[in-house]
Amino acid sequence: MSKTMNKVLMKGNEAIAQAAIHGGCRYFFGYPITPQNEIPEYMSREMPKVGGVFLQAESEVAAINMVYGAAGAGARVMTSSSSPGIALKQEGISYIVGSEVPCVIVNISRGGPGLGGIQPAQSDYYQSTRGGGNGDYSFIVFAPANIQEAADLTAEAFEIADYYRNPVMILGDGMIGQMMEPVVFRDTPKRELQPKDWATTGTGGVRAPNIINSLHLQPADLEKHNEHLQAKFRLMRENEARSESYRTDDAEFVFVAYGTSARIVRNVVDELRERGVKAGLIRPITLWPFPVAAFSELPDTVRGVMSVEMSCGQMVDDVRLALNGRFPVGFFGRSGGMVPSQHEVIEACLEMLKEVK
Amino acid sequence: MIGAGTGTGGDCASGDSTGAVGTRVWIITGHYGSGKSEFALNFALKMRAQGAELALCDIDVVNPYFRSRERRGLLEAQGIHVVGNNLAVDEGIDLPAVSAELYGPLADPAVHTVIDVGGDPVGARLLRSFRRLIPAAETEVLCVVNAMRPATQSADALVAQIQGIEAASGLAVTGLINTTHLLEYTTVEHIQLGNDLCIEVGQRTGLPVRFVGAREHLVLSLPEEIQGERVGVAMHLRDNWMFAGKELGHGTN
Repeated sequence: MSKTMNKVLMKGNEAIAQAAIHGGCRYFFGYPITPQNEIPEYMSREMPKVGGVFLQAESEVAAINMVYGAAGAGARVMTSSSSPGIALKQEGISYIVGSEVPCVIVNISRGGPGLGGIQPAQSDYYQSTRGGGNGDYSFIVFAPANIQEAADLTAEAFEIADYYRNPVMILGDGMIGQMMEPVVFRDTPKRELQPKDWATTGTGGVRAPNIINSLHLQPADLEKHNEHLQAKFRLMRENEARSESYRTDDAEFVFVAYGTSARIVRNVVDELRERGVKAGLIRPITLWPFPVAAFSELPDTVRGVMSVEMSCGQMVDDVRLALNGRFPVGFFGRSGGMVPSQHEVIEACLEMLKEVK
Repeated sequence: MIGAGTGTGGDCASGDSTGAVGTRVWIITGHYGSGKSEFALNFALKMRAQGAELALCDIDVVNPYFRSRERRGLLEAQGIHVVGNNLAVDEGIDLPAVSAELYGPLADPAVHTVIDVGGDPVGARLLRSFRRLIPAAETEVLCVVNAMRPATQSADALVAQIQGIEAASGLAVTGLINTTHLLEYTTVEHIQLGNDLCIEVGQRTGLPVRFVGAREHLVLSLPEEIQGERVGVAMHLRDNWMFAGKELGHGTN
């Protein structure tokens, strides 16, 4: 038997759900929305088998607050939704960061704004990396580009969330949730984790009650709390940024793309190379922290950089910030659930190369 | 004619199997993500290539993406009548809006019909609403088997799946399709594994392996003991870029 026999064929959503269980998740709270419905469906079937809890909440707002509660009690907990549902969770996410409890949030995103449509989109970049909740807060956002990576990152997300006592988001466009690919569930990289002595697990009559709260009414206290949170976010910036650079060493033109777009652009890079254009790709794996180091490493041979997104242009802002004016920055995007074709990305690149000389 | 053989070893890829045409309605059911729509699409194209007047009815209300009706252009260019939902929109809608247009081909004895059913018993439930219009004597209800799908890796699970589909649809499953695959990583070993599973299910249910669906190059190298009429499957529902995923690493820099 070949080694591929360990692999199974799974839909992205199923693989994410299974990876969460593999990563120790034992509580799931969610509410249905396409195109992520296979996650709660899978959890409803599989959680009871591992002694876990699945609960379909009455709304996304309820679900994220159940996550807040379970996380405060020290559980490994996850919720999932799609774009407008994640919009509803923003208040809860801000409270969760403010209260320093760990959890994993999955967004299998679809076209917007508003209800939008059910086809894949990457127009939740701002929502994920800038947040819709109030206050100064950040959290790690992973953007897998295939099902194996989605599974690996989901399992690892629970370790990282516990390590920082902060949420981790898995952001996959609808295609990552819906497509089928082989996957294998392997060992998750472990972090050195402290016991959750802050969790509300009962005093046993021997200690003062633990309180999970994001309320700090004294300005000096709140500022101190913010400084503490910012120190954590700095650590994440320094240690957690991830990206993959493909054929950038001698590139004259560099694309930046994540998730599904990155897969299309990778084919574009190869095709452009065959046509004599030295193209390359930076694929952010974390959207926050943005992998700025990969941009610093770009060679001086680069004449132009283009962000390719299934949005009207969001990540392109971070590309500009990362390059700080070093190279001209262009953008190509499709929205509304339209997936860019290789052909149109190539045309956009050739057009920009004419302009930048 | 494809599907006219006894279901063991006929070769439809070359189109040289012949026989009396007894079946004109093919209902493709089974667990979602097993390869139903891709098989239905390829099966329809091959039947059409052999001259059959043909309708492909996609009544999948389970999967929001990767549905056979999304390839309406390809199918209609070959002269296949495509029935999608009653909203005349092939993408971006996940409503159970099945078109009454489906009744036309079922009632017309001159038309062969391939029905691509949504996954699992929940998808097969739709069949119940028009099961009385299905010409039982001319119909095969087939259940796909992909041994690489975690939920259908045991005979127990598959027998339960088949019973669930029968209970939901009110129709008896009449045969199996071995669609075992791991996309571009599929080997003959995988298909053999699916074959063994199908045989085990067959021993428990009496169901024959009617077809084995695999990429053309694999179909040509399948050993004789693999049961089912061979159907070469081109991957029409996956865009070119979907095969690039395997190249993506976990490089961090």
